Amino acid sequence: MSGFAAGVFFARRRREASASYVLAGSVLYVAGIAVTFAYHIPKNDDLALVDPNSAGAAPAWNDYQTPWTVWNHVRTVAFLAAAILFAVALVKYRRPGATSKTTRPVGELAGAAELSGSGVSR
Amino acid sequence: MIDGLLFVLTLVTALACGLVAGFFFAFSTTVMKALTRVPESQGLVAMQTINVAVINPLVMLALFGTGVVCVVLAIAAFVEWGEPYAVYLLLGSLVYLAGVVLLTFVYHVPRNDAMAALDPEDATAASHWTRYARTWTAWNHVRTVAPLASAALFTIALRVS
Repeated sequence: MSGFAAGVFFARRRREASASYVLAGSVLYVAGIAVTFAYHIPKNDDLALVDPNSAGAAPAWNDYQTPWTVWNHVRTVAFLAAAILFAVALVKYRRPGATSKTTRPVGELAGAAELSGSGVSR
Repeated sequence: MIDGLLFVLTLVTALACGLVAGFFFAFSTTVMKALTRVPESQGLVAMQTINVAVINPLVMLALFGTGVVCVVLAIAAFVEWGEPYAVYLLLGSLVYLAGVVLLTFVYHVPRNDAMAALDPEDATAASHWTRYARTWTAWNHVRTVAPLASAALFTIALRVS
């Protein structure tokens, strides 16, 4: 859902300073989800089949928990980095019509945005 | 706009609050449900072990390092009072300090200590564990919602100009 929303945002506002942060955040978020589906869910499904009282249970658990945790670190860092990038995007985002040296649409008359009264140079 | 060091501090604290919210969210939505589904003696031992394992540098830094920075942000809010973001800094800090730091020390830590003393083989241990798990989790929901609200308030502080 959020990936889709971010994609729409990027497509519509890719000239804005915030767009590259939204894109990078979305890529990291999707990477975290991809790790979940590609690694954790299959491993969880395998573990679900293990009988705790069987002879193979202890080695199965030991084989499961170390790499599971390593890849969980990856998910933790990926989602946290995505959150940082989304927060930075939010700060850099300029509302349409607001003035900014870096984000004024090409061809807009100089001063037109200032007249709209929504300047950001406070 | 917030700028300079205060900006960085607010951004880092917003993220840290989100991280803490996620940490407690996992307990409220998954860990405690699982531990109350297995036999009582196993759930009890697992929780006792969690309460020992949780005392490690990363978790302590996330929970209480964030608390320290919230105190700094609350002071900054008074120094910068009158700026549009100051009220959000103050509210975000107070919500975190009350809903995570104070609640943890007043409610969860004493109950964890009492639980640590239980013998899983004891006849009364199961009923103690069941009651602990229910009330502990109810107050843990507060520890989930409070830092989430703080994260939102700090994020708004970053944005208002």
